[in-house]
Amino acid sequence: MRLGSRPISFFAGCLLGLTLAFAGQPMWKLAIEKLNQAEFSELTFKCDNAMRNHLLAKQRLAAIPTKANVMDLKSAEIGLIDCQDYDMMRKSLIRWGLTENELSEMALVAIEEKGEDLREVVRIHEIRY
Amino acid sequence: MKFATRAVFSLCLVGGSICSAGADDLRSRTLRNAAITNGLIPAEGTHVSAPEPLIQVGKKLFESRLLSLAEDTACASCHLDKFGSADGLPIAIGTEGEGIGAERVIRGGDIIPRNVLPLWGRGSKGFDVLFWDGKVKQTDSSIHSQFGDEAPSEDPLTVAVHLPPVEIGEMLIDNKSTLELQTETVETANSVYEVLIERVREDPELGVALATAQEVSVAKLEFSHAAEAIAAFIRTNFRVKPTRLHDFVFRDGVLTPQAIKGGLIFYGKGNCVACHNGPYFSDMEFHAIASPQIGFGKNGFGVDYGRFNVTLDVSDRYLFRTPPLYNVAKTAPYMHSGSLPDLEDAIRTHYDPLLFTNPEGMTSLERVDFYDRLKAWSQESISGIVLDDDEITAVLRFLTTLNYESDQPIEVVD
Repeated sequence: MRLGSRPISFFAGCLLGLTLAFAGQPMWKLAIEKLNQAEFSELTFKCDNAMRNHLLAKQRLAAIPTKANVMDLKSAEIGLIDCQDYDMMRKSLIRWGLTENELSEMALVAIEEKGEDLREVVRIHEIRY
Repeated sequence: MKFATRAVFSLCLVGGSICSAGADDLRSRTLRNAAITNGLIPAEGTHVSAPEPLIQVGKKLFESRLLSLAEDTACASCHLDKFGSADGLPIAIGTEGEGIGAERVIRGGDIIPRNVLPLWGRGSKGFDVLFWDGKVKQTDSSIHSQFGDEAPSEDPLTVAVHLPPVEIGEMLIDNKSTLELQTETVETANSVYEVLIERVREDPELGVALATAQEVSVAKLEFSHAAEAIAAFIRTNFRVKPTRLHDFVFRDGVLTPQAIKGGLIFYGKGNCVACHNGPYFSDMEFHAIASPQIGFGKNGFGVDYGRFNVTLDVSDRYLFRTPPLYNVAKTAPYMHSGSLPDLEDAIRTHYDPLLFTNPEGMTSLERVDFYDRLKAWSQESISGIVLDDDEITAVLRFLTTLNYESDQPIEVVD
């Protein structure tokens, strides 16, 4: 009843809220990114490392099919659980409002942290035939 | 408002538990499967039975100094409960040693250039490669040992028990009075055994007990009878018993999230399982880890060629038998020369040998030796793996799930 008697105040409040929400969204996302960057970087590296180890183990087994290499591949498969942790964190960050684009940005920051030189950047961006 | 708060809180709890249960199930299932696939079996499956009277007299012999020529050292001098059936020292102090642990170093004695191995699982089913360099090893057709084709037993553990009493500095005192027994031949070993078993025959308690257990007259006792009794005691007292990991794998028991994480690293990205597999967490094969070498070394001047000393095959240099992992958390210090007092560091050195190496303080020989060890290590499956500190701590937590206690306490004799 009271709101109905002051429609202008109500719409002004809504407008203010929307404006604040719109203006605050980048701040919110930035805070989420900053708070989670360290852990996300670690998981990005671990997943990347696990995937490379898995690829190497598969190639090694294909070249030299021994029991030891079969065991190495099985271990590398279990090692891919690191990527499960990485994926779960991605989903969690999406739930908190980050977009795929912002997650890509976090991954690039992670690569820059771990990369010793430009080679890592080149590896990601070079054109392959 | 209170109702709303409670409702939200309950929803969070239910939701959280559903999510975490789902994740834990995947990890627990993976860990259980990996453990079984890589050879873990129920503890009882490893046991070898022995007659009780033989076990009991074996315990007494294990704790007796009579079996060292100078009557100054017993098996129990260096295999103590306090140190997880090892001696708590980097490298052992044998004859002329007194006390336990660090006391033996302070009071002096003959130095044995390798870390004392604990006794867990020794003599159980399939545990047939003994000592760091595998100097006693069962093959399909025979037992390889220093006895050549005159092995005193068909049981590898009994053959192994024959060695310390005739090993110079270990139980055979290194002085002028024993010079003629220091030829390290089977003949001189047999003459030492004859002296030692004569003492047992003359001991009113041990002689009768051993003869009764072996069903022979006291006069007919031989050293191999005593060795069999000690072997029976070792294989029974230190046999594998159900651990928290067995409980988790075979009885749906619970492990902490940290132990599960460590287990997945052990069987997964850490690839510890490449060598630490089977019922005893050892493939019973020989591998190179470029851990720091301390002490004089088996080959002198800080060099230990490991398996090469048994086979004389150059490609066997720096290889040591994979140590089993039961009770590993209790048996510090670690590695063949006991150079690492901390289990986390022992894990680290498997992946990152440079971490414990300061080339500036090394002699030219030490550097060359280190390069050769690195070359051998570079061929191992674990070379090239990256683990961070949290992951190494998790592996440590996993390894503590392999702890258990022996059946009978060992009497401290020093």
